[in-house]
Amino acid sequence: MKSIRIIFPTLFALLILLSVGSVAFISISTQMKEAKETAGVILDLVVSDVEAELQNHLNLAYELTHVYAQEIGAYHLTNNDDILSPDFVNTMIKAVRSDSQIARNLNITFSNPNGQNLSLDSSDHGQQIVRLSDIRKGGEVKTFTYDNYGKKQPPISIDKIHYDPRSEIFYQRALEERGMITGGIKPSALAGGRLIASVAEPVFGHNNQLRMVVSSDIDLDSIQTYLQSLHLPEHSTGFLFNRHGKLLASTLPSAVAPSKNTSLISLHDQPDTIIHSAAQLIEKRNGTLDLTKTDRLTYQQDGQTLYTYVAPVKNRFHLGWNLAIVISESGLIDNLRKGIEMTALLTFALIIIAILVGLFLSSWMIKPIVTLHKAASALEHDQLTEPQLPINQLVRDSAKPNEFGRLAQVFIRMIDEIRTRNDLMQIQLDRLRHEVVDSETQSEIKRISDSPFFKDLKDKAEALRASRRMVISRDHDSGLRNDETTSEHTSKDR
Amino acid sequence: MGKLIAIHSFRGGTGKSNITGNIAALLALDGYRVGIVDTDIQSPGIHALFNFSADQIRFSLNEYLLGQCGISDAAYEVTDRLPLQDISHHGHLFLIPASMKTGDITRILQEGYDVGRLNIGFQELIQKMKLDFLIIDTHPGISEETLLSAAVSDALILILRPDRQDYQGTAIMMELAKQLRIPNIQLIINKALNHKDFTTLKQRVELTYGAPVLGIIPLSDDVAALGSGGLFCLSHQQHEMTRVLKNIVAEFKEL
Repeated sequence: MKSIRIIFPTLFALLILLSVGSVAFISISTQMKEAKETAGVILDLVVSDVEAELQNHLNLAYELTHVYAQEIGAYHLTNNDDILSPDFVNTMIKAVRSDSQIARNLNITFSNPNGQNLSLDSSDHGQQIVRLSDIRKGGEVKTFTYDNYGKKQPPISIDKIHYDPRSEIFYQRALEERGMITGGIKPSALAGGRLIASVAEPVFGHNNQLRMVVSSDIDLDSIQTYLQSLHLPEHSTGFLFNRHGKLLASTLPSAVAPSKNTSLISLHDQPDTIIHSAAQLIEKRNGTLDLTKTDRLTYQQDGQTLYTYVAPVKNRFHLGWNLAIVISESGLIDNLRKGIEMTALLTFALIIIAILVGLFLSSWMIKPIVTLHKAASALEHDQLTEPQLPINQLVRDSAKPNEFGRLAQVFIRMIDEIRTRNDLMQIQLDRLRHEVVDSETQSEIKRISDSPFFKDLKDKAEALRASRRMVISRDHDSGLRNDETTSEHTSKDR
Repeated sequence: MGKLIAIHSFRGGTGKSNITGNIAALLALDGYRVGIVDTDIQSPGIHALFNFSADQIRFSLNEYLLGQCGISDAAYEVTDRLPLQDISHHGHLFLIPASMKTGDITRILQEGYDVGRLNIGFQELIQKMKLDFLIIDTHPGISEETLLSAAVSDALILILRPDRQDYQGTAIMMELAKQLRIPNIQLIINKALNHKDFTTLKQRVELTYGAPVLGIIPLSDDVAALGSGGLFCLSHQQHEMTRVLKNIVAEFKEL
């Protein structure tokens, strides 16, 4: 016999296992399929965002340089284009401050043939600062904040570095090209050695004499920060590299990516296996790392599928920078796996709860049933008293406001009925037995009393009683006479 | 004038002799002069309750019935078997035993005896011993001698056990006693099992037989343990059975 104590919890557990399990199976299998299918889509979305942001980053330097060069061209400066005059500096501070409302990471530098240099920086790296230097006065760089410049306050720092902008490559190239150029990547002398690539444009006067060179820096550090802020799937990597196969920035921690005052590291020398293998594959497919077109790659590494997107970062001066994003399928599936584990854990917890609830319910339900069974069994064996017949428990159960209570009430009525019937039956049996005995007794009495022996006995008994009465009477009289004689003798004696 | 009381049962083993001996002893302790006649000649036994042995008996009821002695010669005082400190000054207990000799028993059974002589003997005993109660311990069943002994008694006490055979036999005995016009028939139920139902049992028995129940004595292992080696009411004075016997004795005085 399978007890309800087992059937109920098992049924509950199976029900939960079936429902949760089937839902989980359907959703997991669907998601697994979708995950694989959508890896490419996710990659497209990520890449398009990153590409757009990078292009903005690069183009900002071009736009700023060009716009400020144009404006300076129309701007009349006195005293042989003294770019360190307070009027000019304040005008530029206002202009840059205004522009920094529109674009972040904004920096602009003005350098003139006299060796004067004015650099305004509104980047995220620090405060909004202005740097001034004049090689004719030693070339030391005085740094002010926008707010404290021109307010008779000392500079926040003075770098005695003998800075001469005219010796900078971007300056010289801008003069050579007589137009907008992009310099190579080098540590910045003014910005604490951070790796930068400068965009520069010369400004000429009416007599084609150089008035100044306007430049803006592309800061690899800020690109690195941006890439690191990307929320790529787990085991996925994004990195920026130049045509020479040097890593410029990546989503990896800075220890792996280049940082200030360090030379650029080759992709082939990267300790990160994803970057390393992706670079090898890209180079193998294109024969070079100087890419000219977008490419998609899917390859296996360490048993996992990697989806790679690689494209040159479009810019006006063909910097030869390339972006690669590698997304691991396992990264997507891992999330699913975590979902599966969570679902399994939840299912297990639900099953435990179901078993406990089932046990409680079955125990609650069985108790009155067991009592009813015991009562029915006792009735079957004509046992109408405690402890065989659990009448007290039945009375307690009958108070329950449910079906068991009503059933117990019916049982109690039934027991009362059976008891009444039993009593009646006992009375009837007693009566019948009595009647049987009575009839036997009467028959025996009649047999004896009708016998000559008994008739004779009655006569004898009567005679004996008469004799006894007589003896008693005689003894009584004799006793009286004796008493009287005694009395007379007593009188005579007296 | 002393009362002649017959104590009888339809079947043997009802505890008749035991009850007779105890009632007689309790009456004597209460200051009455009491005699017991063992008319159960076929199977005498009441003498055992008083530690009375065969060699102490010179004459018995058998000799009297055969005309070999007077009834007084067969009467033995057994008052000294009772605790003297408890007995009232006037209380006396006499025993007229039946012979325990097989030859005597056989002779009486073969020849029978004159119930008239027995009747005279009863009367003589009451008179000579100045008895308040003469109790006849009868032979169980229905026999001429027994019925006639009962017929001359002032009261007949029927002892029965609460079982079907005894109920039926007692009913026959009761009816015959009525037809013999025996006065004052009363019942004692011995060895009753269910204490809780005593009231119901008493009512049912009284209703069935049309006679009062003097008392109901519960079945007791203590009685069985004592056997017939003595008087229970003396050895178990605080016992339930002794209490019931005392109640019966109280009713006895009103007979």
